[in-house]
Amino acid sequence: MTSSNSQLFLDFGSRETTDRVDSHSDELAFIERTKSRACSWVPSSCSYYHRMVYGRLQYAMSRLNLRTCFILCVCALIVFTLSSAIDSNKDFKLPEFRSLLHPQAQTWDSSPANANAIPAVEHGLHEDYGQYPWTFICVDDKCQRYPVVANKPAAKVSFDVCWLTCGHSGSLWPVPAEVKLSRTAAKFYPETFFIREISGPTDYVKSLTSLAANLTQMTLKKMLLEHGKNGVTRSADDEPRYHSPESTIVEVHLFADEAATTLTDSTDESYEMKISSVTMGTGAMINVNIKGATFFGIRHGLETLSQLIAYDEISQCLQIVDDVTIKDGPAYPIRGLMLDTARNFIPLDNIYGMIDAMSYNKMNTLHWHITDSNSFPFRSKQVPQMSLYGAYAPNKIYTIDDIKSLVFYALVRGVRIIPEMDAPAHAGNGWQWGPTEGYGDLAVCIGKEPWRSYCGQPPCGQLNPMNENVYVVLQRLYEDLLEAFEVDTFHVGGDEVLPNCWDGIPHIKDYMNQNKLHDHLDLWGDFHKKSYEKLRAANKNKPITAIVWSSGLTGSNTGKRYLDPRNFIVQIWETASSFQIGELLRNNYRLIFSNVDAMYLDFGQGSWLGGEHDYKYHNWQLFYDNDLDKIISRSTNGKPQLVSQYAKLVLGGIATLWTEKVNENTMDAKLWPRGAALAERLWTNPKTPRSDIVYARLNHQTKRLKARGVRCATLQPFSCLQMTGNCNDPRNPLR
Amino acid sequence: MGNLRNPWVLLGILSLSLIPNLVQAEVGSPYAHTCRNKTCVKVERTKLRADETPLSLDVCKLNCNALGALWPKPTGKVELGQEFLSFYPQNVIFRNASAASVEVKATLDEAVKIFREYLLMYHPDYKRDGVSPFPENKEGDNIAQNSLVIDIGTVWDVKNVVLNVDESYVLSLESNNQRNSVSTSIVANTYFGARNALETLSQLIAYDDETNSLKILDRATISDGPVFAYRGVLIDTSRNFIPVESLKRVIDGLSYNKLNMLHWHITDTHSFPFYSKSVPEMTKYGAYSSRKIYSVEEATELVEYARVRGVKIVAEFDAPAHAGNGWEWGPAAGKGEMALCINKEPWSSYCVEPPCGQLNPANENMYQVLGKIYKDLLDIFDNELFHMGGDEVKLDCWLENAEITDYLKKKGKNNTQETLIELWGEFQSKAYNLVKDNQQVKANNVTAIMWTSELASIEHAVQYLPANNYVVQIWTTAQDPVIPFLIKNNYKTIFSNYDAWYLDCGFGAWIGEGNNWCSPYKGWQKVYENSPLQLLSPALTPEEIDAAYKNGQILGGEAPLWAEQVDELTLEGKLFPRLSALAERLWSNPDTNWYAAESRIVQSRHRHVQRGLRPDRLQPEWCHQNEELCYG
Repeated sequence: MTSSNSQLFLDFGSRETTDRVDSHSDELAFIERTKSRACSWVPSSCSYYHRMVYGRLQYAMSRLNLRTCFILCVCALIVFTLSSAIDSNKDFKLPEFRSLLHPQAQTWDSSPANANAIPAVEHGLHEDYGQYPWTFICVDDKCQRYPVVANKPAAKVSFDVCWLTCGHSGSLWPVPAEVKLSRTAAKFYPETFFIREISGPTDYVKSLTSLAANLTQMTLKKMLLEHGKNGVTRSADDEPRYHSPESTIVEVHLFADEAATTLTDSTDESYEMKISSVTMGTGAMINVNIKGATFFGIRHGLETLSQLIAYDEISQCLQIVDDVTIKDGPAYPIRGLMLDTARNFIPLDNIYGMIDAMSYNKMNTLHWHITDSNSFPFRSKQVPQMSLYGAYAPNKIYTIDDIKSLVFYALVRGVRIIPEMDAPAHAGNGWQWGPTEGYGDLAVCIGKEPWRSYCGQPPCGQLNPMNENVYVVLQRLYEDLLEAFEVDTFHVGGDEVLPNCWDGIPHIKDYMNQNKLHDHLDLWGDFHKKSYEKLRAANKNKPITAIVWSSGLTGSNTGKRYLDPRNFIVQIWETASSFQIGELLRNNYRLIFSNVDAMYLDFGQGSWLGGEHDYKYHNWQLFYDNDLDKIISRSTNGKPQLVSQYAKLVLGGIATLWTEKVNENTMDAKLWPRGAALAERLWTNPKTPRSDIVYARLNHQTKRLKARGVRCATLQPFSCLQMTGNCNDPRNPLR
Repeated sequence: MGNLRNPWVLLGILSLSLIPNLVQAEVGSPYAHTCRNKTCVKVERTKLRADETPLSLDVCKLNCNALGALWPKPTGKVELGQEFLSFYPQNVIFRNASAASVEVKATLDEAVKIFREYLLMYHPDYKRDGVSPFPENKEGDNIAQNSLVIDIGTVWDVKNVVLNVDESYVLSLESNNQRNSVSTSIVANTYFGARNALETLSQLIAYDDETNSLKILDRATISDGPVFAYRGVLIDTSRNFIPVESLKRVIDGLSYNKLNMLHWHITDTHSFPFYSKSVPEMTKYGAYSSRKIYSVEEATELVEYARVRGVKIVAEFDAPAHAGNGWEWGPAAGKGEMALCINKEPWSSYCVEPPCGQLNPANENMYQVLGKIYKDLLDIFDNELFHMGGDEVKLDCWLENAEITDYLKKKGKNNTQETLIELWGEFQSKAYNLVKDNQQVKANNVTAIMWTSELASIEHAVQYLPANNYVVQIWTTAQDPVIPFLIKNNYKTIFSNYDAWYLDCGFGAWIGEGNNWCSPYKGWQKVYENSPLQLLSPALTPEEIDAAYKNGQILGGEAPLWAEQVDELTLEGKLFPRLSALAERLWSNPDTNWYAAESRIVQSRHRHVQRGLRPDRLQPEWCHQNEELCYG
């Protein structure tokens, strides 16, 4: 019995020529030649044993909190750092499967994602794929279903394998900047997929890289296990068949240039990838080289690699595109999603899952709107009163350790988390304890009625700008949040301040006069100026960038006095045609787009507040078509020479998921696949008109996300995937 | 102990054992709920009045207002006691259960088993493994002395859900003199009434985190029965396949809401997932994949699963349109083209949505195959109601076809729109006879359900669809003039008007640009307020409406979830809690508006979550904890 990769490699025997298919017209002949050689995958004893270990650990962890997860991660790092220190001059090698442990990783045994897997069904007639009378052929850059030629029943290509090499970029999502794919793919077993070399400037980079590489390996295994559950693959007790003559070896080499391991607005996330194959005996050696500017580039390259591999239902093994050249990098440094955990609490498991799904789309920013006036689920060490009074329930909280482990988990997946603690409005529940503890009113109008007079939506609440204790508490909260998140950018909120609420504070006019604040905008601006000082102090006076929502303040001249563009980024939630955009660009503000006319994931699902607030659903095309270049060129007042100057100020986009009507059951369906549409807009920034091929590719990406456990929405009947040409409307054609 | 070779595991075990679980050690909330002015309010514990006890939200909801946490609201008397008894699920005793037959008794046993698990599910730590997380009975634990005793009496030997089966019940709770036991009596004519009573009983019980026990009202009297006989949902498994496990979860959800019909739109042009024993070619060619198939065994098991939960599965075999993939093997098998225009393009010329396909009424072989499929379906599914589809026939598919033209020519007719309507009528009458010929008990009169269509129209309905044989399901808008026409012409009707009850609306279009055709999304408020009786006026007078209802012509309603953009991952969120809104409309036909039901539906939704469904959220949790404050 083999129990490690290296041994496996040494044991590896004869290799066969990989059959090549030079074009789809040759496919029938190719399949005829290979039909008797379907490879049936069998889990190795090694992976089986890891599965058992995993299963137990995951089970134990599911019964404990995620704090444990963090500890395990730290332990993992120690192990990695030690092991790399011992033989740092050699190739960096790790046993298979050493990746982060967390609830979403339990894909082997009882993951929630598999709970609904289709059970094996014995129909007695055509449970065997061999009876399936259809094959898939790439026509017009889309894989379409055709009947199997009657006298050549084995001449079949499965759907996913067809897509691997179909069209300009196969099933890659988002499309790489430059890509060249061969029309051929080679079969291999996941047991013969090796991470052979990891090189980088520091041990930490190598450790992160090996974690990311192991995730890729897990993804491959999962492709098979998913199907195994459905009765196609053989049982886990079968003998391993490493010596099968048709097998091919895949060797992956990963090179990182720079030592950067934190993601910022200027991190280079680009990578280059080359896949080539050499015939060896009767098999082939597939070489994969990924060269990233940073760890993040390599991670994206590994994601691309996993999308160049598919499970083949016919041969029951994996196939990889065998000749590939890719040069790739993102159009924007911020490609994100915003999650609100204050309207409704979202369990950590689901946030882990969200980060997974983001990484499948090369999205890199999770903007976490962690608190609001509804609830305060962040468990602050220094100010535990906040969650005590403000959490929906004692167990509906996020601790600093929970967050630390999440942040590291996200880092390995190329995602940074930007926390938002919204202030001075959108703050209420959680701040009630001031009077009883001698801090005075920290927030005012908490739950005040009629709410419409005092806030944008119930429950009301707004921080009290004339109570100095507010700033003291803010600094403590900032300190705790910065300890948890370790970020250089922090979202301070700043939206929807209502003057009426502050008018009710006793002596507020005196306060304003004393501080030479002329109107409410001054009061509001002054709050941001003071709270920014506290944020900076909380960051031990190191530079830190604050993000604010666009508002009446950012749209005013007063705003400029209080919000220094060197320190503040503005996140636009106005419509794309708002005058503010041009104003802010002229004043050198950096912008992130969340324009309300194209980027709101929660719209159109009925009203939660009486008969109102039912806005139109934003379909995926709106996200895909939200071209930021077009938005800024509208803001140049007919001076096109400004476009390139302004473009530097546009950091990217964040689609928002406000959770008034969202919980863990439905969040995936609201995030995906629309989030994927946005991901391609922000990564690839396509300039050619959106064709129906985009729809077909997005359907395929949706299918992939589902297979990886994302509870994605469905865009079309499955027949539209199988018969791609059929689902256009000639009367209402795609643009 | 091979695992221990791995240092990872050692580390893992060490850290698991060393790290205390700080989250759970967190001090409890400074807030509790209490009932003030018929509203559960969240107050700081220190500010509770002397006569108020801190309650969990779920317990507070049980009797804070006249309807407590009951959903759908009962139609007869509701009296809820003001005190609670704490108890553990192991001390629930089913004392007597009377049933008219062994089969009914066996079904009752199943219902009791299901009820017992609901009680475990109320505990937040329940792991769905049958193991009770409640404290065991111990000396000195007063709660362990308390019991809930249940007697069930059913009268008639009725085994299946049939239209107008008696689903009513009377439920009464009473505590004994020692105040350590509540005895419950359930009286119902049928098993289905008794099952509904158990559902209601489960809604009088909640978990109390203050005592780590269940609490039940000390006293209650509820008499209840539905206003409408047909209360259902449509599940489409052809546009996208839905696994059997998910269908079971849907049936669970129906049973929580006393909904009684699952209309299974099992096939369509897109795919043919129903495995027909006599015509296996249908799935071979028509299933999306060899795994996306319902076997005979699975379908049979599902029918029984539904029956135990008070639900009838009404199978639909849509024809002659909405049939294509699965029918393409005719020519190769020497049977000719059994369906025409399969996957034909441009689709908009030949069908209402892609892929196209319409049965070929000129081909006798098609009728033979159709008869076999009907037989296979009727062997498994209900023989009282059978849905024959009949919607969206596009005559253009037949118009230019040479085979159809020849067929008509032999009858001395030209191929025109009007002769094609006749041909459709001929198809329908042949198909109806095939259904009759193939039902299990030939003497029974199967009732066919048909969608509103050009055939079921003011011009053609009376001629082609005799009111004795057909129920018409209305999917057009509430304003469609065909609705009063059908009532006046003695048709029985089921309402599914898309302007209020289509649950698939409001997402991006699945063909072309923009949002889907029936946008916007139908919020639960809209679903709740769509009243079949109200929408008949002013076209019908109040007397006519009353007569039609009493005559059994308004059977009820059904919310369709067409599955172009649905699969098992999103099914439950789209169905629930909006099906609850539908359920109260059809069970109780309330004369109050949605606002009066808001806090109850939010609580009912929460109960769905406790039972393991995945419903969507209606509001921020703050609105659940602070009743009545999220007004518009």
